Amino acid sequence: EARDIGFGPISSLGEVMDSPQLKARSFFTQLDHPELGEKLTYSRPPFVATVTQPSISRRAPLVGEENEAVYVGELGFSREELVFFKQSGAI
Amino acid sequence: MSGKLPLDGVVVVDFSWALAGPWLTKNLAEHGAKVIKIETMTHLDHNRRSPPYKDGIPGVNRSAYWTYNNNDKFDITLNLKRPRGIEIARQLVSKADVVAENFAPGIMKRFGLNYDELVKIKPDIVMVSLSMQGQTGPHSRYVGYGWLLQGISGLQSLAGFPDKPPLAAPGPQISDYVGAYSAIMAVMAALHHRQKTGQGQYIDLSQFESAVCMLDPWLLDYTVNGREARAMASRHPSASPHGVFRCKGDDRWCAIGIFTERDWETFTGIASADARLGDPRFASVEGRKEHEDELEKLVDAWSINLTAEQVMALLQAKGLAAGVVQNARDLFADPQLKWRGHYQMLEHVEVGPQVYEAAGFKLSRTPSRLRRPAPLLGQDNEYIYKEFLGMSEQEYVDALLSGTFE
Repeated sequence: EARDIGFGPISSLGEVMDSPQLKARSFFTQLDHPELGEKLTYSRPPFVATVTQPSISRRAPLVGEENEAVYVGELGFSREELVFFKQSGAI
Repeated sequence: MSGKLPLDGVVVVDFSWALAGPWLTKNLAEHGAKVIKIETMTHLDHNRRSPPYKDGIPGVNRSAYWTYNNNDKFDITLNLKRPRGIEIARQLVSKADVVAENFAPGIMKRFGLNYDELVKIKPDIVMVSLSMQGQTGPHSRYVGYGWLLQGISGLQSLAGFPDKPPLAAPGPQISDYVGAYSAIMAVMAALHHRQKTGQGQYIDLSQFESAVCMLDPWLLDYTVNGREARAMASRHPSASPHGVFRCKGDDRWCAIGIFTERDWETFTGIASADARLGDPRFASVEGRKEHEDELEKLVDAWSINLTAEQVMALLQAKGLAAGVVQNARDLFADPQLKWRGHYQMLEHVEVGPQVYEAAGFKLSRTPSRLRRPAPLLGQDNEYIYKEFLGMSEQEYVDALLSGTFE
């Protein structure tokens, strides 16, 4: 490094997780997962921006987790219609 | 073919060199952006001095390694070691929407061309830096190239054979490409934000992080299950047979992936000539994994009698994943790539007809266009300095004679 010669260690995955460079740049985030009862490690996109920073705030959803929020809350179906969709096998 | 391109009117001042930055700006140029690539004879892009050269004859305009990444750009030479050069660079930025660079962190600041300075000239500028490891952090100043990043990102620990030293994954510049594609997304998001709010911003992209992003499933396996994955050649943790198998001919292989039990039944139907494949030990994926060495020898014994193309055709006809391991000649003859217009010929001024590669994504209304071959060094000096910047003839000659355009 002192002589500007390019070299680098071949990292194992464990070493990548422990990288001081990635830690300094807050590359990894921990998010809760209710079903697994533990935190999962997520990486953010590979850049930081000064105004619009991508945010990692929610872990991957459980299957159909947002049915009510999307069908009823966003798309405007009624709860009765949602029940019908479920019963008919559409969702 | 005429018609609008999505980035018509977007001006990119491009200080980048080597691969990561140029691959970003090539994609922007092909979608209509006016990319002004700044080079200097005092410190030539390494890639201009890299083989393969046309006919094996070296020359700064003859390297395919360089031309491949630089079609559809305007090329100017500008000596940033001279104050007049910096002044001209600042004038260019005053007319730009995007500034791209991939120098080591600190270089642009030394030139007085870092974001904090450029934002004073053009408040809504979108600037993107694609450095090795990011602008900040304990290793941000480490020297590096794509092949190094393969090592520190962990990619190399997963490539090659389990009983041999780590192998450089093919295409040593994976991190450059992945970094470039991430940068395209980041730049488009920033331009979209600017359209809504008038605000520009600075994007600090790390090629190291881009490479690590590709390893998310393995990193999750490590953090959640405590398993540190190792190289497994072309095998797959939960599928078998999975890998490359030898076919008829010189160094011809077909890649095969058998995932489900139904896949396996279908495959044994195709390779029915070899009864040994019907061995009950192989009936389940667990059994196939347990006896994988033996199984792979049997599959090789079957595939060696067929050409790679035949193996692919037989398996694909029944819905199984199979693909010829293609070399360069195969790629240029690939009917699917031809149909997609993936490779296009442009007539280069010095070298003649050359192949360039189009983006892998096609916009239905405004698809990319490859129109101009890679430029000669400094080819567009007069156009950019006199017409685009509006320099007078006298100013131009003064700058030329004083070495500002070296």
